[in-house]
Amino acid sequence: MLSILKSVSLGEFLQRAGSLSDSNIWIALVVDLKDIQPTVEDLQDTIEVFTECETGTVSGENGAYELIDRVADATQDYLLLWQFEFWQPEEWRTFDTLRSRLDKGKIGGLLILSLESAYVMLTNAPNFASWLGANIYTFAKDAEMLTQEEVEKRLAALREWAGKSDAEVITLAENQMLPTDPEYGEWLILLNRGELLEQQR
Amino acid sequence: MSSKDSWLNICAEIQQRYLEPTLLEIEENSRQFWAKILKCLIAASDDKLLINNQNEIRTLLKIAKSEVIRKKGYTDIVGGEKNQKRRKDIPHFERYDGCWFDFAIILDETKLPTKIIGFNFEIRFPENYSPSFLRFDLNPPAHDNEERQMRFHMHPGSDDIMIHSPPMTPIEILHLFLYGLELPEKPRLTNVSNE
Amino acid sequence: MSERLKFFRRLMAAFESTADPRRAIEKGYYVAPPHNLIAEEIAGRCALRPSSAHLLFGGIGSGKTTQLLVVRGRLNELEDIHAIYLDVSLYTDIADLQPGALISIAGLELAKLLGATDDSELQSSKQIIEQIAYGYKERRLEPSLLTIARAAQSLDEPREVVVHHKGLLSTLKLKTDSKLLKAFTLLSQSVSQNSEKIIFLFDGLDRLNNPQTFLHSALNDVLKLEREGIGAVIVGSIPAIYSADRENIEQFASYSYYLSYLDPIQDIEAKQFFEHIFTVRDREGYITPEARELLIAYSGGVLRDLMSLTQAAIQGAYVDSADTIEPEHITNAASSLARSKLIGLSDPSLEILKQVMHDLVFYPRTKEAFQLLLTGHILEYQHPERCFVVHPILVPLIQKLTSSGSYAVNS
Repeated sequence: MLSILKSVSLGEFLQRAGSLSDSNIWIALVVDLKDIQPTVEDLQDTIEVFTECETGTVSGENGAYELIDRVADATQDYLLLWQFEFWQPEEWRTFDTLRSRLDKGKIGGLLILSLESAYVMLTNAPNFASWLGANIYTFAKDAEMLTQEEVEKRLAALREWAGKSDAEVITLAENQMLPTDPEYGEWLILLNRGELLEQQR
Repeated sequence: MSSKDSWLNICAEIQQRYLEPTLLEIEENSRQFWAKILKCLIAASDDKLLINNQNEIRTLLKIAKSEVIRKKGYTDIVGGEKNQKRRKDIPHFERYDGCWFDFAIILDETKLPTKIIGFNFEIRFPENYSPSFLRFDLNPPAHDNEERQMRFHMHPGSDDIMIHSPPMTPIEILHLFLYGLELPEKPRLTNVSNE
Repeated sequence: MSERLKFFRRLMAAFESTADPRRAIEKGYYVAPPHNLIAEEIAGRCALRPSSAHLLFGGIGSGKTTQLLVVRGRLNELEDIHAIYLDVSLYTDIADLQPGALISIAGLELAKLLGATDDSELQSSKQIIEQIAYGYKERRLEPSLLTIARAAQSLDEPREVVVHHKGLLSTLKLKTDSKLLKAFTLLSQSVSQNSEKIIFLFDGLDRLNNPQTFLHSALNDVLKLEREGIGAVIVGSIPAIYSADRENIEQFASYSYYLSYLDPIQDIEAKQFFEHIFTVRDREGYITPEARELLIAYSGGVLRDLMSLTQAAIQGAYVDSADTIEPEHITNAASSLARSKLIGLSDPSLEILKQVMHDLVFYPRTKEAFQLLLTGHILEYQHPERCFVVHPILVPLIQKLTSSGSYAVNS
């Protein structure tokens, strides 16, 4: 059922975040459980570029009361909340009743949670869900990465330009005879042989 | 010492001045750097300098990685599809005045701080304009001394001619392409072939 | 920052719905809803009888907080009334609301109003209120627990222990202390000596789903406040008024009011109200009349949903590099909102929605049914006639899911 949510990439999310002002807007991003940690890291790295304000991260690992307390104490303008995976319905009900404490007169924040957590949240925190409104998305992780098809297309263009094969380029690199055009550096990375760049120094 | 040796020494000196370590070291990691470039392009689109809309920009600006440990490898940030033959039908960034460009940047994150170790930025001007393109290259580091002297160079409309490039970071070159290369309304006579 | 981004940020901010409504009121965005002017009615009655109690009910996103703030504004224009707005959830965990908690909160506010005082009784009252509210530590002597005589006499000496008394405004239970009321009475009499009548506006209690807690904790306190000559307006939740305790609940209050959603299609005045909201928030007319009409229709007359949809459409236009809000941006926003409303619904709840869509009648009897009313999945309109409808934004999606037979909420 959660697959019917709109999907956003990192780039699109950042653009949306960049359009926010001090209006206490909350967004929920639904992420596969195994991808939560790297997603949080990527967001921590990049949100500030677009919001132009300090971003803080608050964990829910110790329950709703502690999370709310930490949110209250946080000084940053934008908050990233995560680690909801162990929250039972009761935690979400507590979170819901204490919703007002999330409003600090600032931009708002972002919840990163798994499919299961999102379902429990939406079932047990109707007041907070009302705040989220339409702002619940599934996160298209790594949408900004070149797809295999795109990598292949770039490699084909490089092969045509250089008149060489991938194997020839790797051999040249291994023998420290790689031409110095930046295209060759890119070539090695696209072949996932970036470590050969070190040998060219 | 022959004149060529002098020239090579001069090249080395210029290159040394241009390649101050701090210029190519950045505080951000590759994701943050990508985000900065994205923001720059979005702003240019918002200002109607780029005719690409935001959706297109996100499609054109991509990342490739070569790493064993997450965030500790090599990254290729690409802007536009690979276009060695300068074909306009290949997806690229385009300005309101018809200039169009693409780029690729190579980052080394194996050790902190992140280093920019190579890039190429090429902007093509409208038809009948001279030069037809301008390209900035930073070659990845090489062991060969001769090759070292021109790591940072530009091609003024010719793939064969290259001259030392002024020291500019990728973000600065991007800004140059977006805001700094305004085509005059009335080009000088020597550039005009249609009078 | 580009001018375009600045413009869109301003427009997004104009349609904020989750920030403190005080800001919207201060910016001049408040538009009085049609029909029963609830805020004016409450303010008028409070002005005549300042120590009366009023109950205000309404679904999520219906504008209850805004109405309370407007009441506060109206009352504070009067010389002899001081109205204080409080969000109870900022003081304590509502789910575990204790008898006496509202009195503690009111007492804390009175203490603030009183300020510093040389009067020892008042100082003591303030201290009592704070202790009961927040808890305190007490050092006292207790007899030794050893019963076996030992050689060292010191083992029989009383020992000092620190006892932690938990406050009412915490998560743990504590009996109401009669000291609290006495202390409160003293403070309120002192404050009232300035000839100002105090009225408290208690918000946040609509999130209290348990009617029993609402009755025995919140309303009992309100009754005690009323006896002390302190007026109160208190927000309650919809399940409370549909519960078996309804009569008990309503008899506590002098007056009760229901802030219903407004039918944006059948009710002409409601439609004009929503159009006026756009007029005051989008003075430059960026959102076209056609777009406004579509947004209003999709909102179902739920104010917060209208704001949420509008913001989502604005944002959609921004990331689309569009110069105007196109119908596509609005339908995308509506689709997103519909999907998020649908997730979290149990199968029985979905069956109720389907039934209401089909039969066009609704008799809330079950917990699921009350919850659907509270959350705005089912909307109660009172004008032009009383009726219940499924939120219009959900209808196409439920129909689609029903016809495809593929609905599985719990998957």
